[in-house]
Amino acid sequence: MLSRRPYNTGFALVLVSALAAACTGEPGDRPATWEYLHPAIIAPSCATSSCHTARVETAGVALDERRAAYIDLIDRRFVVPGDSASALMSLLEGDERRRMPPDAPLPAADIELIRAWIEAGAPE
Amino acid sequence: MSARARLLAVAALALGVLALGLGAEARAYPHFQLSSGSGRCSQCHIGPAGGGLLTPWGQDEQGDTVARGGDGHFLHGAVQLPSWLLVGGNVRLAALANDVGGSEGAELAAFPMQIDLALSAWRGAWSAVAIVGARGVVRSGAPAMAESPGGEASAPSLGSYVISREHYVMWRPKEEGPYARAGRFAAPYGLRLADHTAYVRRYLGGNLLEETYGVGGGWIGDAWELHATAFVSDPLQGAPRREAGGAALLEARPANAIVVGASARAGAGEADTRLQAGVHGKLWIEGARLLLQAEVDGVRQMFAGGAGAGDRWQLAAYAGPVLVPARGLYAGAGYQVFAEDLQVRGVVRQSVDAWLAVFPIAHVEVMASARAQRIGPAEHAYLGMLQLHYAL
Repeated sequence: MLSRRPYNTGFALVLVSALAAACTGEPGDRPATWEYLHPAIIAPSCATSSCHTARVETAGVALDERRAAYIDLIDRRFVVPGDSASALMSLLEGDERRRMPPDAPLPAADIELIRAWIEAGAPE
Repeated sequence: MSARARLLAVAALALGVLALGLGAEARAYPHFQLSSGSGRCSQCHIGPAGGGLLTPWGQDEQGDTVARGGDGHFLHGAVQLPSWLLVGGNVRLAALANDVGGSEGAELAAFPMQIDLALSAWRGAWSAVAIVGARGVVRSGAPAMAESPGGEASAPSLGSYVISREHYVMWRPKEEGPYARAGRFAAPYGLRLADHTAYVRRYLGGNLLEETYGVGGGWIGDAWELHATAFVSDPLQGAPRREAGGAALLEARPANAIVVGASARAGAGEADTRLQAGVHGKLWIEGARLLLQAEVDGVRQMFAGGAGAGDRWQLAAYAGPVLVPARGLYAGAGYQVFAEDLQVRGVVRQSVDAWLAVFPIAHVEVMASARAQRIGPAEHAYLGMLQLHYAL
């Protein structure tokens, strides 16, 4: 029986990977609003405890509170509503700046959703 | 170039190759659970579900089975502590090469990854546990501050560098049987990998310093154990999610070489509600000195407002073998996947890890690791890391 288990584990992993890879939705299905972007993408990717929280404020940026993060990004012109060339985009794409997040980039679909949000006027 | 300079260059190159080619993010100490002959994590650790300070048994194991030799007790046995006190700590230095595809190219950094002191004191069935230290800092953020559009950034306060990952009071009358605790600790869930960047930790509420305040308890037996926790996010040390909820872990050992477990976690905050559950398992193959371990979790995240717009299913999985070819030598690999939204194309992360850890003597660990990630259909990230770890 024991000899079958590695095979079974491998099969399960292949199945899991296939399921994950078979995601069929479209990026456009997701709401391009800060109410969604913050808890879905920004907070889990950027507001990690050693980076952009109110306590640590790496680079002076705190993104853990939804409303405060929105105000900070707008007031400090990381996001200029309507301008898809906003500084936030160059940070996420690593264009002439250190790319963020620094450990692994966001999926292109997430970056495009953020771009669509900015182009739509960065609605809160 | 002088002979000394050539020697230094060769040594630096060798270290670089080691860091980039062999290592792993998975400092998966859970592989000690079966490979060292210990069935329960809490045989070696004060924490009822593992982690943190070593028990006197764990200190013995450190020298006798985990490392290649030495004395695993406090200060290598040079100082005898009173029987009601345990003292430990960690100093972990790291160097990394990190490439996330930015125009600036690969990032090179050397930094203090972990510096902490751990204490546990007990009287009868009661004990108090605390871990205090400094958080690791890879990047100061200074370059981004200078370039920030607003230009009104301030540096983190000195106080923000001081952290306490865990501090709790525990009632545990016997090694086996019921226990309860209250304070700040990580709610037991899943494999409990030491690597906080493992997808099954990072994206499931177990990232660095995301330990929560709460009350917990359970039952620890010879063949199975149960842990349950009610928690709230730490309002002081920061977390990506502010939530309150609960978590539970049931783990069984139907045979000496097999562990199977199931976990569940629910958390609700202002922005969303997350429900997640998963299963994990370990199999130790003694003849091959090989441990297989895997975890699969599913998540349902529901966002506040918007009448369900954006609600999503997520999936996270980890699997990897750990080979123990000789005492004190551990080589592992891992495959990970995290699907951020199963209904959206192009938001799946996959990672392949490899690592090598050597414990030449008790208290000392040298680890090299490497990770290659594929993020969505087009993005990639590569990491090589070398760690030097001394455990008090």
